Amino acid sequence: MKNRVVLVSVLFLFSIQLTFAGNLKGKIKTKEEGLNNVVVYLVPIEKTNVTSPKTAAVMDQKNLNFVPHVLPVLIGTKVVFPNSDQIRHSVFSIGKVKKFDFGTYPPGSEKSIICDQIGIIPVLCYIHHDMSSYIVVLETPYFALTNEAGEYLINNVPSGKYRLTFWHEETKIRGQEIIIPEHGTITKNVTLEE
Amino acid sequence: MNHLLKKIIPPLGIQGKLTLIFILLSTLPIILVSIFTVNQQIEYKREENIRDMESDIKGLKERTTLFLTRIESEILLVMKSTELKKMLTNLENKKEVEEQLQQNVEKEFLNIISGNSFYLNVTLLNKSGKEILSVTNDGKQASVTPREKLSRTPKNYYAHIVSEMNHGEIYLSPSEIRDPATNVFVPVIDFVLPVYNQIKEVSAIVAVNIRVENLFELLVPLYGVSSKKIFIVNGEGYYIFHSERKNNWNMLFTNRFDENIFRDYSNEIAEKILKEKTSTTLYHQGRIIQYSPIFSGSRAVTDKYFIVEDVAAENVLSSMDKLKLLLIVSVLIVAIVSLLIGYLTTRQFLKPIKQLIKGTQIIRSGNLDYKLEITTRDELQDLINNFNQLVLEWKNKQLLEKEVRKSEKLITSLTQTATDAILEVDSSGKIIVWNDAASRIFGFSKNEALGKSVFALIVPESERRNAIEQLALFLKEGSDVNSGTTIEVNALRKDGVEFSAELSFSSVLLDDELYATGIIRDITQRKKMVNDLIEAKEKAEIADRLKSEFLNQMSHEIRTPLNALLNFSDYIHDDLKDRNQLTDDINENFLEVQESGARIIRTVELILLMSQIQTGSYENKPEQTNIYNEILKPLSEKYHPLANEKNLQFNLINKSEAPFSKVDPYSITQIFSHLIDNAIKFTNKGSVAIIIENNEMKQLVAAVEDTGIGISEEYLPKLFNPFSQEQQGLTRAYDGNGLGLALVKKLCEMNDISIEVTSVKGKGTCFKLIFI
Repeated sequence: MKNRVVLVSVLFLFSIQLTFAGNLKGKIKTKEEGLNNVVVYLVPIEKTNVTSPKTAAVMDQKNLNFVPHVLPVLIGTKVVFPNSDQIRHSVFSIGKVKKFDFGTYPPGSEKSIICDQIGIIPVLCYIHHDMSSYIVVLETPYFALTNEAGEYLINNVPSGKYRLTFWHEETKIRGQEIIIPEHGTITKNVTLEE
Repeated sequence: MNHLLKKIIPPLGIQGKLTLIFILLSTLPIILVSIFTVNQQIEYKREENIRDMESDIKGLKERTTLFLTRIESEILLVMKSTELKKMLTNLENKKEVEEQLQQNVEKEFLNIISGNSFYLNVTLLNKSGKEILSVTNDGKQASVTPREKLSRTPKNYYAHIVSEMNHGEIYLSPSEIRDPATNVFVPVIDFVLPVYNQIKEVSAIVAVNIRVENLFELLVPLYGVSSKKIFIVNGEGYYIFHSERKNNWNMLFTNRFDENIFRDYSNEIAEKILKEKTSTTLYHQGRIIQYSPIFSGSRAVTDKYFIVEDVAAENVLSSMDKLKLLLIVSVLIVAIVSLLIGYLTTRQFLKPIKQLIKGTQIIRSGNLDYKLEITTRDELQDLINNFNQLVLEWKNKQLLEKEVRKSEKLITSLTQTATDAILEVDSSGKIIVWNDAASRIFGFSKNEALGKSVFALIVPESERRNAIEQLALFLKEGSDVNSGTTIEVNALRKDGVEFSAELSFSSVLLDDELYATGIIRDITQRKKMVNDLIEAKEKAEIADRLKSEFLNQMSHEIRTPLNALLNFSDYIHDDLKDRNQLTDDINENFLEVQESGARIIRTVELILLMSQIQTGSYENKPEQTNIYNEILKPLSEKYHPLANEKNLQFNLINKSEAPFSKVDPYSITQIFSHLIDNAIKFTNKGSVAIIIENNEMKQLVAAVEDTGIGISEEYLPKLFNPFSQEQQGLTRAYDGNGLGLALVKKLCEMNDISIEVTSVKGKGTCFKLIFI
């Protein structure tokens, strides 16, 4: 998946820069199954400066769907909205974080925004009422999105104290403090009651 | 502007102008009325059409509302059951409620959807947009979507829409979904209805997908009409529905590839349509466009919808073209007819005016005898009459002016050639006329005199005050009293010398102002002459008196000694006779002495009588006298013998019955004595006759006729001068002192006797005395 590729490359960069770095993995599930589309991210307790990534993130429109449904990005990231369908789309957001309305635009063309504020950007289409997605703008580059099985992996996190936080469109998951070791991988699973 | 008009429009003349006015007056109302009517018609048609279109749109909107209300009521009916309400209140948390709800509502939803072909889908969602229940109609039958097939992700759009809606609103928005039966995209209209709980919070959402095709067929039953174009666009201008593209209208919606009003209309028009908030009509490039917002989804531009009806105006107004053509043709006909009538009328009207113009030209060229012979029955007749009268008056005036000029010239000439000074002054004494003679007499040139005060200029200072008063008085009393008065005045010359002058003056009233005219003559010379004459006359009179006195004295001095001589001569004669010593010779000498003596006495007596008359001492005592008996008879007896001595016949004839007259008998005796004496003296043969008679006027006339030598014609006028005889000098044949006839004349004058003489040289003379 494209976003995964981006994520891996970002993490790779960090791994070069930082000598002491650990990994974090885990699974988030309800009683029955793993929870998809959960954003998992680590916010350092001590504030550090972040540089905006030069690579743009992509929110595609395909088969009357936004792909991905949830897109976590670091603040300052440019998000492009290509129209990969055979029909027109009319992408907009009425959220407080980033309000925009691209209007209707034809297949093959694309629009874009810069995510300059932390928060959730709900994205909708005027023409296709079933379409919906979220861009989650984060202050930290250490994040991951759970897969269909609810699994996630954050690599090369510099060792130190972090607050592990989760975001899901329907469910609230409590965050917790966590210490990332200098080497090795720690596992953090969450099981939701409901 | 005016100049430009004059340049462009050729001079029309009265006829042209009148014709133009005529046409304008006659055709303008028709044109105006026609234009008005056609415009009214066009306007009416247009309004009618707009009303049609408005009612179309209104109908569409009404149908939409009706339709929406119907759906709303259907849905609400389902949602409003008490049990459902309760369930919906608890919807948020409890899963069991959802299940209950599904079981309860399922049936109702199925009922709705299966009975109506509009519905594609009816879904019940919780307030976050998560599907609780969904019922689908695949066009044949309705079915409940199995729970496991419900979307796991919430439908955020509906949640979002509902959050933006006010209480009581419903939402209608075109959309596209995959038809569950055919698995292809189909256009739908989403009908979104929030379900509120008892505290008016949104507790659930009902979303209905309505089949667009069915909906538009319901909304726009007119789109088969060819002349009308009906379409629905969204706020961006994309066609949602288009009556002319009915066959692929699905594509319009799903594949909005360049199918927008910006391609079919100008940006300006398209933007107008998309911004309109109320129903509006627009005219653009021969089209009538009626549009109105029909419904809107969210507040986004994309989600606003407009219905537009577009009709070619020419379709609406084509019938008007025929009307316009008819109008133009009829106006042209009216204009041509008016032109013709106008031309003919004005020509008729202008005929006398043209003649009038011709007349004025003739008269201007000098023919004042020209008279306009036109008869009209209108106001022009007055003009013509007045014109003729004017010409006549003008002619008279010209004649008068000619006379006046002539008169002026004459007067000027008269004034200038007059030897007397002629001047005219106004009431203040200012000189306004000054002729050449005035310049000569007074020494002031015309330029020096005109405008000056006459008093200062030519009146001596001593008389100035009086003169001013006199002029005032004269002018006051007026011309009637004083005109022609002549007085003697002293006048002043330029060199300061005063001189006597005779001043005649009169006054004249011109334009309410009195002017005085004065004629001044220098009488210095004349006065001197008169004085000389009087002196001479007085001297002459003295000399005459002295002469008469001298003569009188002389007569006495001559007569007295002469009488003594004659008496003594008689005495000697008688003495000699007594002594018989008187011989014939001596006797003849005595007779000669007697005769000469008598002649001297007679002459002296004549001179005495003449001088008496001249000195006025002669006493003439007229009394009633019988001329024949008392005067002529005695004289006849005296002169008869003398005539006989010369062998002349002597006759005294009285033909008058009353030969009386009141005269001095002595004077009359003297008159006849001289005449009879002369007659006998100047007659050598023939006769001397005295005839007395009355003429036709009963005047007594006495004539003394002879057949003597007569008097020459040249001498006749001098006949009665003293001391005159026709033959002068030593050679004269007849003696006489020439005093006789002069005396006769004098005596006749004194006794009112007219004396006439007729004579033919060599034949005789006749003296006729008429006793007046």
